[in-house]
Amino acid sequence: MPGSHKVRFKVSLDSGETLTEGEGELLIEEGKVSPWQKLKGKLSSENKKIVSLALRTPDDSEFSLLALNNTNPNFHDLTTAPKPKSYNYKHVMGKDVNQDKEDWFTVAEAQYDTYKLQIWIDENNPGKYWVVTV
Amino acid sequence: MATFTWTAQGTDGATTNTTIGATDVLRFSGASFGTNVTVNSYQDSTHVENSGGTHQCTSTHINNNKYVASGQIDINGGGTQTLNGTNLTTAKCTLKINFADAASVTTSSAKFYAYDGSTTTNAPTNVTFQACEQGNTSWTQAHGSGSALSLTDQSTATSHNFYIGCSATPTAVGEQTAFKLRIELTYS
Repeated sequence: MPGSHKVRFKVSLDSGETLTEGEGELLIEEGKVSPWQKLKGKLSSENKKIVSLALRTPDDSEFSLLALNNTNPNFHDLTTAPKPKSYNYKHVMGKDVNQDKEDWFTVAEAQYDTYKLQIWIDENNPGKYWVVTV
Repeated sequence: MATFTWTAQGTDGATTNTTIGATDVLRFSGASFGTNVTVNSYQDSTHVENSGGTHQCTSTHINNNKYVASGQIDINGGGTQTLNGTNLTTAKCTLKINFADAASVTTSSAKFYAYDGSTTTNAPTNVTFQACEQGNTSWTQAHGSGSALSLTDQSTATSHNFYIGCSATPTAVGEQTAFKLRIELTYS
């Protein structure tokens, strides 16, 4: 959809399905619920769970959070690292009263017991990204 | 794309509104546009001003939501009232900030605050700023992102309005320009 956000999510489910925002059943449709809300509805109604979450930028780069079923890349630190309890995806926007352009980020979040690990990508410049724990 | 639109609402029940453009400011004044606010007193009028210093309100000015005490407000010079959703209706709030997206989204963790114009965690310089969301029963001294006014989460829709009352007092003499208002939210 013209003018929409550039950074999209890609999820894998415990059913083996892989879904990408803007494609198939997660199309971005004007006036309809957002793809993330569609996905939440699907997970609830079909009793499914996200096992991995990544963000894709317009140049097809992917920024992945650690997957629940991670075996690849097959390195000790990745395969033995604590697994997230759940995942979240959101956009964060801010604007000053007299600012020309909104500050706008897309965020993927891995939720652990006592903290969250987030990947922030700048929608106004998707080549810029940050990783933070909150 | 998702956008914010800041609108200053007119005293005629928000019939006459003024969109606050990218080079405009919200000016808190004394009795009329451009007159001074006494140090440690809150504003008696609220206006929109462009970058050239020109008053943008028409004959209808912007709602003045004056802080009186934590649970009290003076709306457009009408005298002290209890701050609540009955007295401060949506149409009587200083600001309507609209957030719109092409898709139907939820909003959460929305916050509104004043800062020094440089670092969002800082308080505005030489200004005490108070804010309330329509329906609140007390003001929030919204100084920096760490002590912002929290705005109500909203369920799925393509358009979300936030109605906010604003009041400010200088704590030092002179025009106070290290003072900006900001809104932030999360949506999905």
